[in-house]
Amino acid sequence: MWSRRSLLMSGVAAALGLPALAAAAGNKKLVVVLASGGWDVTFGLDPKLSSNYVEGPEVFMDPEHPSDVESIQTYSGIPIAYNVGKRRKVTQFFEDYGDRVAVVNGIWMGVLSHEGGLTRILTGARNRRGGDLCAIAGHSAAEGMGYVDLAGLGMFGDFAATSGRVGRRRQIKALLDPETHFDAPEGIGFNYPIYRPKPEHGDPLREWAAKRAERFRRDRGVLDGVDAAVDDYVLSLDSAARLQEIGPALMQGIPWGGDVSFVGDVRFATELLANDACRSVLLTTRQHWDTHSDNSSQHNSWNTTFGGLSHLVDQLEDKGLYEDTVVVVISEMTRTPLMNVHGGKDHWPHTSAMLFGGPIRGGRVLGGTDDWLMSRPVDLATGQLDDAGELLRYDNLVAGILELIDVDPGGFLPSVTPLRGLTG
Amino acid sequence: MALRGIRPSLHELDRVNAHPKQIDAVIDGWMDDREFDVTMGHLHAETLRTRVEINNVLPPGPLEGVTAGDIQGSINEAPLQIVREVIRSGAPYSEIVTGDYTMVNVVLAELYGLPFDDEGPEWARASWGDGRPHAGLLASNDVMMRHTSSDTNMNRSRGNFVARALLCEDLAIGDLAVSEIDLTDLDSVGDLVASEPACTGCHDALDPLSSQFWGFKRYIYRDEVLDAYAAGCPDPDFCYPLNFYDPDNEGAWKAYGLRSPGYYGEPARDLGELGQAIAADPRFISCTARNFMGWLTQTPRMELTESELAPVITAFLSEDYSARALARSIVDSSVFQEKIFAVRPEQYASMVEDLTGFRWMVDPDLATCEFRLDGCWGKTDLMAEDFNGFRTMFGGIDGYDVLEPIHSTTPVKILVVKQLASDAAGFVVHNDFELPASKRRLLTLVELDTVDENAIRRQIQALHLRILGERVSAESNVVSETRALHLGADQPREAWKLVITALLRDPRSLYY
Repeated sequence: MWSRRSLLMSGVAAALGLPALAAAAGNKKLVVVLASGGWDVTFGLDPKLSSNYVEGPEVFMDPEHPSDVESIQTYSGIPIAYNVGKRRKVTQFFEDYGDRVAVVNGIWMGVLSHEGGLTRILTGARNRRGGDLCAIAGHSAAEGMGYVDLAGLGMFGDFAATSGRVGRRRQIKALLDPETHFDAPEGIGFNYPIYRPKPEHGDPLREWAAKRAERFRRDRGVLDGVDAAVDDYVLSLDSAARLQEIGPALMQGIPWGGDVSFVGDVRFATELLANDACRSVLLTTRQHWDTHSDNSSQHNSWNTTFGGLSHLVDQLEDKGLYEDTVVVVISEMTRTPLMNVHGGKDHWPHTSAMLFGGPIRGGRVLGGTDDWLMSRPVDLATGQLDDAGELLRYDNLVAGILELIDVDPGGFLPSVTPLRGLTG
Repeated sequence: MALRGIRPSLHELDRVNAHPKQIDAVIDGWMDDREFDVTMGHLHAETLRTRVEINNVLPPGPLEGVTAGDIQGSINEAPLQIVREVIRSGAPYSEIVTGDYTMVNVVLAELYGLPFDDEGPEWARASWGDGRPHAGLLASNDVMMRHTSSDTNMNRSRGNFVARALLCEDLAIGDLAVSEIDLTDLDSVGDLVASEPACTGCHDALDPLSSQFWGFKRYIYRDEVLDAYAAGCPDPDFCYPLNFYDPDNEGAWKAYGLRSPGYYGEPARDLGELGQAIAADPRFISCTARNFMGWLTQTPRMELTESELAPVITAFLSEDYSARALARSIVDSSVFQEKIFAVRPEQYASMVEDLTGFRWMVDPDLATCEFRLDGCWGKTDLMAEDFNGFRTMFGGIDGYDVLEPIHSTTPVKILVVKQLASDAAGFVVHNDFELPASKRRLLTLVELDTVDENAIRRQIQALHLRILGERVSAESNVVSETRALHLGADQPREAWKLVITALLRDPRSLYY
């Protein structure tokens, strides 16, 4: 019997018109960090201090504090908006890791809404049917769940059976850690857990369920969708069992409920990757980037995010994951060149990305924007600015990221030219 | 399952088994059930995106005995209650945008200062009484609290709510051609939406819709309410009862130089006229059919073809915009009858409750929460929300970030099912054996000391029928396989818990 995954990984998929995974998907892992809401790239990756048409962080300089100065500093060839008082952790990150980082500026998004922008930057497409790049990466994992969405913003598309969410407040802990459980409301007459099958019943239950699944396939086989449903069910039974096996160790020290933080997410994400619980993880920075009012709060968001990113590098290295991991930091848009009347900035359909990890050749900037913060054409084969080149679009970036993790983007984003120049 | 979220009763199964032609009468009866009414709420929660727990939850403040979860839950449900009331009353479905009432419960009555009879039903009709036009959902505080707009976006998210949810025209996700626009003349940027051809395609439709909503505040933030109470309510607008609509502000669009209220080039001077224009628009009819058929057949609504929609639109129109007729025609269609479907979290929870009496209720802050101004969350239905619960982890939507349901089994969904199934099994086995057989839910044919093989097999047979709708003989392999599970447990109580747990995890429990 072909499973959906084995089918997809085979040549049969192409014959059936299904998306094909790379024949030999590698072991590279993928971490996507999403600055959801729309970061103002002029505070970091795409400084515009010399532009007369862009109001960047310099408009918030306080003349009463002579140390509050905006400038551009270059780290390993990467120019960064610098203000050590307000964005010290950005500076620290590039001082420590600038030689490992590639920045991509001037990514054309072609849409102004958050929903549309998130769809495009995560999937490389204008709809969510095909799943986001973490879902694609996760589906090609050797075993287990494949993709864990810690952000709650993932788009699983056709790859839902190998993807999973963990809950806004890490509710998954109550499902994986036998010591953690909810309390019943007072006066209800019982508390949780009411009943759990004994460990020795686990295998008989799973075997019974697998038989039942095949019977279901036979009984309902005339109906559309039965084969896929049964395959997903059986695959998910196995993946869930594996998660439960590693669950107690995995969830140790992972907080449940309360506020969750980017640094906490980083820790959880790297634990998941280190335990082979998945191949890809989606995180958010947990900052408020959508600054229609008071754009000055971008300072804190950049600072906090880069503190978390430094922690991510350290965690990946400590766990021996760095060399085989690609980290992508992105946002669905940047913000308008000029301030609005509320001291904020609105949506602007261009953005930047930052990548690091073992496969990335650091110390370089690809793409770029003009003085009005609009995307400039590039040579997609190198990522270098080229007036005779093409607009660098969201789909070029997503296809390029898939290549970085050894997934052939052609099966998912046909006719899209991948952005190259990030490795080598 | 699709229409009610619960299994057919044994009586219904027997009736149809004996007289197959009676299936039509049985289904007609289901359309009058409370569970169908509840299902209509679930359907519209996906369309209207109003069940949200993750953004700007208002605090209880001084409201006695009210939790933050109560407030958010009430705001979430009120728009759905308007729709349910329209459908329940048999009124034309278009009344959802023309009705002269809203729906309130005891919490919203306090939140908005509306009359409410504590002795009456949980939800009741109420009139706004502040001069706002009659426009059903379009005049609802609760809809507009969900679909807020930033200070600079000029109610456009509300305008797009109308286009997306009611007309199936999402104006926010189309391609821009801004890269071709000359931005060197910065003074003209603000006028682009009115003059630039790349922008006007959408803004000609969007902006007049958006100008309809200036009577509403753009938003009321949680912190504004907390700050107002902390300061002794110097600005009553941010203390309960909230004042979220001001008719005197309906014309505020003029001050921003925005386009006047309208409807796709036609006049519509206020929300009342907007509702009438929508109700008369063929796009509203076809979009309603898409919304219903998309949900019931678990198909992305924009992927439904005109030929698939045509017969259900005919049924909808021929029965005077009857939502019941529309739903009925969809379940009769080949699009519905030739597929299997995954249970949604709300359906699985209802099914389990109907079978076992168990609802997965928790109190997430029982141990830590003392009464505070910003409030405890309170009792939580784990399958119905995401602040603490498992709705999106099971495949549902959260109305804000997760906007598309997942209709396949996932590893995390299995984890949720495993835990809910075992808790429900423990609950029903404990309760059933405390009751006489005639009053039990599932274990009606055995006692704890039953050892007779035939009796045990008949009970397993009955469980397959009741829980899964699967008719098998007591001597079948199906029953033998389940009996083998039963024999694996040391004690009778444990054995029945194990069997019921397994049946609630069965593919037939997750698909229909």
